[in-house]
Amino acid sequence: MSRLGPQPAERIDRSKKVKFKFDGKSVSGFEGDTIASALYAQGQRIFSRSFKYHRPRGIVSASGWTANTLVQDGEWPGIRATTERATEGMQVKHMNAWPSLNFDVMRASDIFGGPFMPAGFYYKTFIWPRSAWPLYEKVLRNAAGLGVMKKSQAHREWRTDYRRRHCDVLVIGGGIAGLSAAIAAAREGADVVLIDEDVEPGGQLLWQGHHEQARKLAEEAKAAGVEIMSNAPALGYFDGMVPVWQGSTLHQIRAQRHVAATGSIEQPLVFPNNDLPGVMLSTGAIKLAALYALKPGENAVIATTGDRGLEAALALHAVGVNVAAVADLLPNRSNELTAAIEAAGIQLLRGMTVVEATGNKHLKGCTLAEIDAKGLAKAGTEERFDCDLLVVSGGTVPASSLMLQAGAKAKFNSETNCFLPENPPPGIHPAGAVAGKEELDAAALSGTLAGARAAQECEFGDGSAANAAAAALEALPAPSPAAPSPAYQRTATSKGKAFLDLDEDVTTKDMKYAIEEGYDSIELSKRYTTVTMGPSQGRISQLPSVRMVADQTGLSIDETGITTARPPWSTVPLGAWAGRPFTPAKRSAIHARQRELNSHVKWAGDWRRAYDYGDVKAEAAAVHNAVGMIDVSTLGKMIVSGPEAGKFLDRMYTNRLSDLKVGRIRYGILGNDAGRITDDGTVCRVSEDSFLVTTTSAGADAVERWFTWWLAAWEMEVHVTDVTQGLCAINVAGPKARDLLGKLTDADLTNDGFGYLDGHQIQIAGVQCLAMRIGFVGELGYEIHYPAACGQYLWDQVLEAGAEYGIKPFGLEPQRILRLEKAHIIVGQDTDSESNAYESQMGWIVKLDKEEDFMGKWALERANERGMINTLVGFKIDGDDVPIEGSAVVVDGQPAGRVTSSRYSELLGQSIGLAWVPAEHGKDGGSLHIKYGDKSQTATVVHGAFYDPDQERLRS
Amino acid sequence: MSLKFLSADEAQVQGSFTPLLQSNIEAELVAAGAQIEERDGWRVAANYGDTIAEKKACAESVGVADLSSLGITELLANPAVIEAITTGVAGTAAKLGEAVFAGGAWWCTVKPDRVLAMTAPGDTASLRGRLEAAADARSELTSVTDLTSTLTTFSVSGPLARDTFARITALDLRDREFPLQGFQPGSIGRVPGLLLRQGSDSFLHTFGAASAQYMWESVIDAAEDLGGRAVGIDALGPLGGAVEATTNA
Amino acid sequence: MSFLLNCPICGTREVTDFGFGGEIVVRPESRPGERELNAYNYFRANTDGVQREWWWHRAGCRTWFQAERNTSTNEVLWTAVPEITDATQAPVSPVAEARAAGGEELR
Repeated sequence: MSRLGPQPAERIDRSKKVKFKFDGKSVSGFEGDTIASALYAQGQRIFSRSFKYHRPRGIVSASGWTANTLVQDGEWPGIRATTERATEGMQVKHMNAWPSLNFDVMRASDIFGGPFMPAGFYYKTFIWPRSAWPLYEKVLRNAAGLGVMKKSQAHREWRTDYRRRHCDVLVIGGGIAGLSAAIAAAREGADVVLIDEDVEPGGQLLWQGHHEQARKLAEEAKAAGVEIMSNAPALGYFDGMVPVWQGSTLHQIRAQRHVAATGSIEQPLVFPNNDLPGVMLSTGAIKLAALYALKPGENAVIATTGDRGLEAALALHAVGVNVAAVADLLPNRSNELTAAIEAAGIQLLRGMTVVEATGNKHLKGCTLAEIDAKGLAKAGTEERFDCDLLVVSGGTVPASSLMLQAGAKAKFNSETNCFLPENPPPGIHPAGAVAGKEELDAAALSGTLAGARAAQECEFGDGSAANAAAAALEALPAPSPAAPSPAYQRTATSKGKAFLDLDEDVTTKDMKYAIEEGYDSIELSKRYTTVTMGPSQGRISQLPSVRMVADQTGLSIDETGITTARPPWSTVPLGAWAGRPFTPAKRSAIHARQRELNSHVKWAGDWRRAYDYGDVKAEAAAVHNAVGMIDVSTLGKMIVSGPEAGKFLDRMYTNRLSDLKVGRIRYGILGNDAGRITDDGTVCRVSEDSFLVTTTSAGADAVERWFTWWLAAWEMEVHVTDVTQGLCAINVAGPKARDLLGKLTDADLTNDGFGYLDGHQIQIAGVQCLAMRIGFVGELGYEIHYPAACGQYLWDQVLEAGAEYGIKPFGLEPQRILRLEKAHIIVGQDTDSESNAYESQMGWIVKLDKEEDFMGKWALERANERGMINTLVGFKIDGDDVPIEGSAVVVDGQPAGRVTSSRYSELLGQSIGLAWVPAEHGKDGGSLHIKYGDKSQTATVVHGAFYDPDQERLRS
Repeated sequence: MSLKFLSADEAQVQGSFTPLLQSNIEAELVAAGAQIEERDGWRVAANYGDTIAEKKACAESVGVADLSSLGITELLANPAVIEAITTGVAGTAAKLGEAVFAGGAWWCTVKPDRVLAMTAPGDTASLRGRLEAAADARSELTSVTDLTSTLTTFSVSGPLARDTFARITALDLRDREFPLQGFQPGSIGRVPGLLLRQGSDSFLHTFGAASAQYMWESVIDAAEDLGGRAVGIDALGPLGGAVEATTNA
Repeated sequence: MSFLLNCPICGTREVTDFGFGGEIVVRPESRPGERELNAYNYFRANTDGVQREWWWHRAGCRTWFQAERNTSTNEVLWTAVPEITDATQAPVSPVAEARAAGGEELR
């Protein structure tokens, strides 16, 4: 057992046991334990196998700064065992080892593959032959995998959510700086949210002997009205929006002002076997002891560049760890801490550092050596120590990623030996370590300053609190300088890999190799070696990798620069970004009824629509021979009204609409000033001053946008109201359509009273409708527009009344055949962004002599003068071998055009279609060669409709 | 001008035909246990079999009700004409950013030249008539359009109503930014929406009717996750507003 | 991209609420020459810095309005509904005024 007696700051409740499973074995911890602390108490030291070499890995930071302690919890992969609380009944598994953590066969790649697996090895080796990649991938994924995902969302039992939160000031980080900032801002009256990734706010105060102060500050913050969110890491900074992951909810927090109090991250030292379980940062060792009452080891050696390691030595000594030696990189440090160490009888070795760790699955000992004037270990001065705990401390770096994401620039400060963010964008106030204020007093004051200033910028307070904090901060003495650490340490006797990045298994050798190959800037070597690109985003590997590049290139640290860690700054499941998996689908008011009729429903733009009702041929035949009904509620519909409505439509459409008579309908195409067709539809003049304009289903939104845009520029006396979703529309078509409707209405339906292209407001089965005689599907037909609230009712009435005629509802697919028989185009399928009206065989609808300068007129005038280059024509092929849409039209063996629509027409007994062809090949009756797959066919060009070209049936 | 084909309430009994006015999502409501009853000519979800539990949800967590029958009439004109007409018809002038309840309708200004009047189903036709008469009397361009079928409204009521919306919209619903009677357009559930805060914990959420099924699934999912539920209009006050809960039947 | 934009009618919203109409291009008043027509249809200034552009509040009031935005930083300096009756006449904005006064480019 590694558990100590009660510790003053411990966060475990010894009266409550928590039992869970790790790799099937029972684990018993206390409430408040993390997964890792409970396991550590039972003697577990190996928590994972490394990414590439499958080396054993253990606890380093106890803060989730490495991927070493990522585990799988039930369905959740990538859980940080050192920060995730253990809960009763958890099923925890290791992630990257086979068959077990203790014995991993892939370790062979470390022992034998070492020299043969440099950076870029996978890219270079497994890409040839290409055809074998799927096999390589399968094997490599298993070897390098991090956790197991369920195959599909449907198999998962957990849900993820979004939640939006607005506030005046968001404080990121709950250490002394963040708490001080939150208190200052809230006391000025601002609405403040403080987020912190630990289970309670306080940061380093909690394990450095100041836990009572931390709890007091947290109480003050709450009393001031601060909303504190714990276990809530910020994932990034997106133009002022900060996503925060808590539980299974992604909180999207939008604040007016931000305080970045993200603290600092302790850095390791680089030396051979620095990844062995038992090698810990001072943060890790102290947290285990202070928060979880764990004895991190029995015999410890400490290697440090600054005060942190000295503090750790005293803390570990106090809990009964035998500290064999403390190696301080500075040859001449003498302060309260060194005095205390010496007073405690601990061996303090000034001017020494660690050059090697030894052990197989766990640390067994280490070698210390003296350093020279440059700080590098001298050969021949090695001294060996037995130990099971090696505490290292290479100084700290500010956790400035979020500020860098926000646009601040990192600048190396040679006094503090770390990068500090400079010139943050307005509205972001750094506090504490990221402001270069790491000492307790300075951090607190810089927090107060940042919080008060942020509140002031939200118009709370008069700025006096901020000014006072600024003055007090100014009066503090400057902190003592820290020793710069060399890139890495090694002497002639040291053996083994020295790791720059534990997540990605990147060694000093990999980095040398990358630089020798020419990847000699930090941005390039990062991408080549993947250093800092692992789950912990370079938290403890960025500075070592920068030092390594600087060391190898001879550039200064500042010249080398650093890279910006990308979101997410903390590991989160992909579900965090997915949120709630809903897709905004539109459905007509008759949709439910169509589902009951066993329709095949598919996506059509953002609508769910019936593609067919199970028998495409029969549905098309019903329209030709009896009567059919299709739901066309998805058509865009707009009321365009006002004294200038006609004039406005004349400007938008290529043809003239201002002279349309009340109760009449005209087809029109919409274009842009480049002369391209953008949409088409019908326009019905409903009254002197108002028109019902229909658009394609996909174009409804774009046309409304287009109309209102020009109205914003022209300010005409015109109103536009989009009623797309308010009107159901059904097209009742077929030779029996008139008889059928006659049963439902008293209105005059005779050809004289209600002719082709008439639009009348009539009552059908008691419902007020606008019935329009339009012939998209080629038979006598009525497109009936009526209120969606009566959608299902009228649909039912028509089906019932049509039963005696053999009515069939039909879907989109039969409609596509029927319209193709009429050679009616579908904008966006038969035309594209390069199609003008002339080449699309619709020159008849362009009225260049109109009074208004309509959209596209100037370009169409030129197109008309120039003549056609390509043209859209119909074609037919005997037989039912239909060339697929997209087939090539071939001229002289070269592709010269393409098929845009093609179907087999049961009615005509032929395959028919539309195709773009060079104009000289588009003459009526000419022949085309169409190639698809390995087939080639000859088609005959047809101008005009394939079916009923004289429109006798339409007008009957 | 009259565009009767936009108005479901213009439907009338014709011989053997008796038109039904219903919600786009009646099938979904019934599947969720709704008891459909006829009110003011509309088939509505009156309750889900337990009106007390439904009222309790509105008082203690959140209740979501389909109010497809809510009348919505659009008035388009320049701001001065709008002010003159609304003052004449309801004795009030609507303001941007907030809704005003007057003359049996919520007057909601979407933009200075576009106002929506929301009414109980039984009042929609008569209000439309009065607005049309007032519009006809103006020389300036003025349009009155029935959007009852175009827009669907849900009532979302209860102490967790704002929490429900926080899961599907970026609108800032804090008291300071969205006070009582606040009215703001914005994206809700990735669909253009209009939000009216008609009581301290009671919202009307209006959006395009074709999205009704999607929105129902989305809002109910968020509400149920917070302990809320679907409620019938019997659990609500007039115009879908929250009423004080009664614990004894 | 998740910056905020101020709709002149509805107030501040996430940019995802809006549709983008591109930089402002003035339509020729009468039949343009070929070069002018092509420039109007296809040529854009693609400014690196502050440019005037069209936006519309797609998910809200559906009003078209104009904005001045720094294309490098996404900082939005000005928004307004154009009060114009002639497409060739541009509304006055802070940046336009500064330019006219010979002032420095605003950032």
